[in-house]
Amino acid sequence: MSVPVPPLTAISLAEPDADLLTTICRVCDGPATRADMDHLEQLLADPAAITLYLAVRELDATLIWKNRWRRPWQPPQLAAAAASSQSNQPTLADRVESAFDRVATMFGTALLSLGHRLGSRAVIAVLLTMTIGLGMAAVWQAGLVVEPALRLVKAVFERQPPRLPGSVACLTDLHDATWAVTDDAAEPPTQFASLFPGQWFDLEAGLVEISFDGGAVALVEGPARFSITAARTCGLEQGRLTATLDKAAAKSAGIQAGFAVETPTATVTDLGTSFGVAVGAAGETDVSVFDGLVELLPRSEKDDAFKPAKRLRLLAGESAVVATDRQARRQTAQVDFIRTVPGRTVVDQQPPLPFSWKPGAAAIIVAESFAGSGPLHGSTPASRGGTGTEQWRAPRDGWQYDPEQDAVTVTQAGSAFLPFRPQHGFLYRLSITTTAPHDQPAAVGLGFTPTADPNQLDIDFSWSHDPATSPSDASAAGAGVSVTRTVILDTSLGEWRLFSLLNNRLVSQSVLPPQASQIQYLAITVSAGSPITFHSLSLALQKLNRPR
Amino acid sequence: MEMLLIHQRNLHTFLLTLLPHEDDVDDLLQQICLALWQKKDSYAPDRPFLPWAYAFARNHALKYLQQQSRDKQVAVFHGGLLEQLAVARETFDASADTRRQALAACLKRLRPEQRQLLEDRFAGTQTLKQLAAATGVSAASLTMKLQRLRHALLKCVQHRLAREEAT
Repeated sequence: MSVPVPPLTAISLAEPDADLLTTICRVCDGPATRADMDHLEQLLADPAAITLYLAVRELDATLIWKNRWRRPWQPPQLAAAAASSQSNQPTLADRVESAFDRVATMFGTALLSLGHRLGSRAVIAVLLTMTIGLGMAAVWQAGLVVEPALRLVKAVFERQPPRLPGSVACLTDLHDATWAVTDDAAEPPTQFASLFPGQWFDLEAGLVEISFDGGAVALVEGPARFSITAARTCGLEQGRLTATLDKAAAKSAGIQAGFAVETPTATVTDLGTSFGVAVGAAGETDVSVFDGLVELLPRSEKDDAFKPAKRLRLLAGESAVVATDRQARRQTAQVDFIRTVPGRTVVDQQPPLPFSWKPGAAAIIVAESFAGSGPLHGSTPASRGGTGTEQWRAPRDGWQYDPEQDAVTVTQAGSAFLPFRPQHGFLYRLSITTTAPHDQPAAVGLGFTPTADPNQLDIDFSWSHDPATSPSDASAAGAGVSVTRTVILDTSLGEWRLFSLLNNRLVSQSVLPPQASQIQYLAITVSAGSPITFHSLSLALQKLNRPR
Repeated sequence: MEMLLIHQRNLHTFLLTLLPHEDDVDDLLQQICLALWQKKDSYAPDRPFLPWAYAFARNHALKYLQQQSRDKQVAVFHGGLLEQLAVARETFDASADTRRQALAACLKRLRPEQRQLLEDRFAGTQTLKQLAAATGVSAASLTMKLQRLRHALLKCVQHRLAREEAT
């Protein structure tokens, strides 16, 4: 049956039939009743109504396709080919080297020059970002990895796909991984794949590292069959898995931490530690604790429920097994687990801060939300209890505050400076919290500087850049997620030190050269290819007597 | 059969037109792709791919809907209308790329919170009720918001298409 359907441009959308639009939307948003469907069927007798229905469904389909994860169907042999190609995955070390090469090419002599300066000044960590503002190809994510032994600066620019909405974990690394081809011929996951609740995986061989949104990092050793259950839970039907959960780090990064592994015979709950779980062919579960505390809860055979009375708590060095009789027993032997990805030479562990920052005891020097109307649209920052006299030195028209959206739009990328002279004997904490939009890549940096010259920023000893949110800045921020960058300047010792943190996680520290005492300004810089609207942007400078 | 990989998105839109319940569409799409793959020998490469795939998908969807209607008492379109929608969708398909391009431009003009709402709605991780609770509005108010957004986007797409036609 041929239906003459008018094109979208031929129907009236200025004032559509309200009943029709409402009914279409009700059916699309569901759940639709029989009455809704009948009513819509009557309305769809009009060809123009069919056009509107088709247009709404096409709109919905586009948004679903864009926002919802799905396994793209692949013919079986393609899936198999993709699985075998996994074994050629580069190691993280390879990627760091290759990324560093790319960065070096991109920044050319400027980077080399900066590297020399960094070396001579013994500054070990400067996060390089940008390229977008410089008109170069979009860089999806920038981050810094420090090799403490060499104290070299390395920048990692990775083209990562974005974390997809609804995902709870990310496949952060693979080592010689081969996946079994499953019946549904789904595409095997590749590096940085978003992982979703309900996904099952058959790992034939090799190692994969999975970073859960609940803060745990799990290393699964093939052969293994496992599932992603939630941000804090995974299932292990067979095989070996080790997990590490740094609760303190997760907490400081604002993550509600937790992790549990469910096996056919038990649930292993991480209480802030690292541990290994091995599940045998019959479902028997071996647990070994490397550090911290783990709770082991056997699963009841009858009703598949848990028996709290039978739970075991295991400390570092202890081991237990839940056999097929569902009884938990301590044992002396530990299963031999692989606990690190082979070939991973770059260390990005978090060293502790050498002091504790007590927010309650700190005095606020500057608090700025950029909601005013002057340069940077805070004519004077709400500093010193709102009595600040210093003004930002910045492009007058580059920053716009929209009170309706409570958002700051930076139309003119660049740097801004606020006079500030640190004194000896204190800890100064400068932080900026930004929420960048999903589709506007940008970079934000902050630090202290002796001159208000934007051209000098890259070579200033006390300057620190951090990666900003971008559509795919999954590990640091995630789309639309708030990110806090912090620089702590310690002037309490003979030599001044600078600590850079991202989401309260220490990423670098350095001893500043003697001329650091000539700091005259605090500075922020924004780099973006086009105007960028921050959903929120706030800066604070605080001072604290260093705790002894 | 690379055509099948290329046109999965068209098939997805086609199925979403026939099945109002979007959660069913993903599963059905996988089934249909696999079935089309298995039937690849019956496809003559000199014929256009999409009409062949749509005819197959339509039959598959009809069977699926009949079963849904019978087993789960789910409200679905009647057979006559399904046929009509399938044919209409195929015709509508010819200009889909232009509309999608216009839509992409229109989406960029939305306010961030409007984009966020659409992302949340179509991510498929929460029901409308849950989303309403999470955003602190009633389900009715959220439905109305979504309706207004759809209307605004379609008007914007129409406006762009008309402007392009004029030039």
